[in-house]
Amino acid sequence: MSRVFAIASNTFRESIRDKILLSLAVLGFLLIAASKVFVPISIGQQAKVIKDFGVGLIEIFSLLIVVLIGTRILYQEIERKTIYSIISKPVTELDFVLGKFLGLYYLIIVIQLILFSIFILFMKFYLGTIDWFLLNALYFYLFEFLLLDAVAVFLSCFTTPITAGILTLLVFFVGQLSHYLKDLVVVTGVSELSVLVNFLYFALPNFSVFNVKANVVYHLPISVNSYFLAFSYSILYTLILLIISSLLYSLKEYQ
Amino acid sequence: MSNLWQEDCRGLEMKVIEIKNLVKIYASPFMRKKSIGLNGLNMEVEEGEIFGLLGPNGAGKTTALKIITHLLKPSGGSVTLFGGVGSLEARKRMGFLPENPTFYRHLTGMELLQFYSRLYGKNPTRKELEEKLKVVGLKDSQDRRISGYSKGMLQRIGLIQTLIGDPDLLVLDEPLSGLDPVGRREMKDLIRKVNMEGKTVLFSSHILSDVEAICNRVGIIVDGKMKKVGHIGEILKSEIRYIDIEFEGMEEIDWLNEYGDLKKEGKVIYLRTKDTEKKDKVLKEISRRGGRIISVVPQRQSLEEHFIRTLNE
Repeated sequence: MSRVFAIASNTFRESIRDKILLSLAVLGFLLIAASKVFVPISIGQQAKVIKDFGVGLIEIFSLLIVVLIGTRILYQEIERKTIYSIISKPVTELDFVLGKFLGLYYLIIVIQLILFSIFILFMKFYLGTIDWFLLNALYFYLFEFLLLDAVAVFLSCFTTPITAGILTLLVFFVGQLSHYLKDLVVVTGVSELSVLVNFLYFALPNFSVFNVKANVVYHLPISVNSYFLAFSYSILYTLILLIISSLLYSLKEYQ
Repeated sequence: MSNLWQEDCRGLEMKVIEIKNLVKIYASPFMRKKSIGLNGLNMEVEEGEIFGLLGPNGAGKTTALKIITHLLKPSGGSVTLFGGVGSLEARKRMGFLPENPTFYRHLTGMELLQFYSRLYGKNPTRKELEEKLKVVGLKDSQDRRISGYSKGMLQRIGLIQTLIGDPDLLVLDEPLSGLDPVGRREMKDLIRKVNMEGKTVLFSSHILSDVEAICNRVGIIVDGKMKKVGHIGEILKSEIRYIDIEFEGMEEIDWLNEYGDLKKEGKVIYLRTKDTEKKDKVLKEISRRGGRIISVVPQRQSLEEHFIRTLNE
């Protein structure tokens, strides 16, 4: 495992020193600053708007990191030929894929924790109190982005970063709505869609199992099953994707 | 390896690399066009030697090295490393320097070596790594990012990273290309040094004088096949082009015209003869006629001439 962690920490360090992350940090700062504009216009709804905004911001940021950085981390190794000095050492394809995956995941966790800390300070400043129930959102995000990280790594095994980025976004948004997909056939009455819809429903990860935003903002109860489902679904799906990714990588050649 | 085992193996020439009928075909999945990288390559590298792989551009040198180092998959034939160990075990015992190496630009020289050490499951101290960097003159640049390294510095840190796992075999792809004369000399000294420490070295190059200077054996690849293999001395010894005979003390020399080109500078006479078989007869006759032989120098063909001739065969 030391090889996996070595690759993971190198990936994390590379991402931290990446200009894209710096751009994202600037964007985050601007968004937080922009929230000052929204808060005064929503009189009486301040608490809800701030919570909604904060929880949404962490999700968007994590999504941007996966799409902009996650889809490039494998491709860059090949494009810059740095992979030559990795694969020629005693490193298996699984070590490599797992290391890159975990490195990105470290980054997501760190960014989420930083954003959440800023969010807490923001709440304390504007609302005078901290709503710790929002920590539930963080729990679900950890598993949601574990899975999305694996999706990005899997897609970037056989596509360019731009294609992988677009596909990752699509998988994420379709996955958020996948429980509506089956209704689509009934509502539209187009039975020809059912094959496609069924395929999408079963093949694409169902990200709606991680969606508890409304629950955490409005303090609606979250069942124990939801916690368990988010954990087990994410871990299982991620493992499958990583195993397939490492198999795909073992077929690769580096000319 | 235990001492007893080392004792048993003494005197045996183990083949570190054994390549049999290696074929590599590059084929695009979407195109019918195929190109042949290697076309039945046979090659052996023995323990402790410096083996130089020569060949024109596109001959298959890099392809062969990349198959050995697990970066490419062979289309046919076999590659046996260290007597037949698995790929992962072989890579533990091997260090690879790619052609025009690129490393993580965000890391410093020191961080790069720390990272590669961890890939071998090692965790050397900063001082130990400083010693390695000192050997290649990069100690002062150890905390500079790789993005600021020159070509020569990249080659040098590239060579050090091949040694990080204390390998038995170094595979170096064009390690001398792009270096200035001083850099080339330093690199050659380093290759010789690690070889003296017992490491086998396989390297490709197109700088023939360098190959000639440091290799024990060379192999010439042309069109994906090994055209010629041998010890440098043997290859060149068998290829004496002419003999220069220098002598003095003779006035009548016209009779020597039939043996080669004659030149007289003061009292000294030079004869360049291609008729190497008659060398003894000529020397005997010069002595008989009162001449005094100053020197007899066989002029061998250079590796470059030999290389070009092999390509044209």
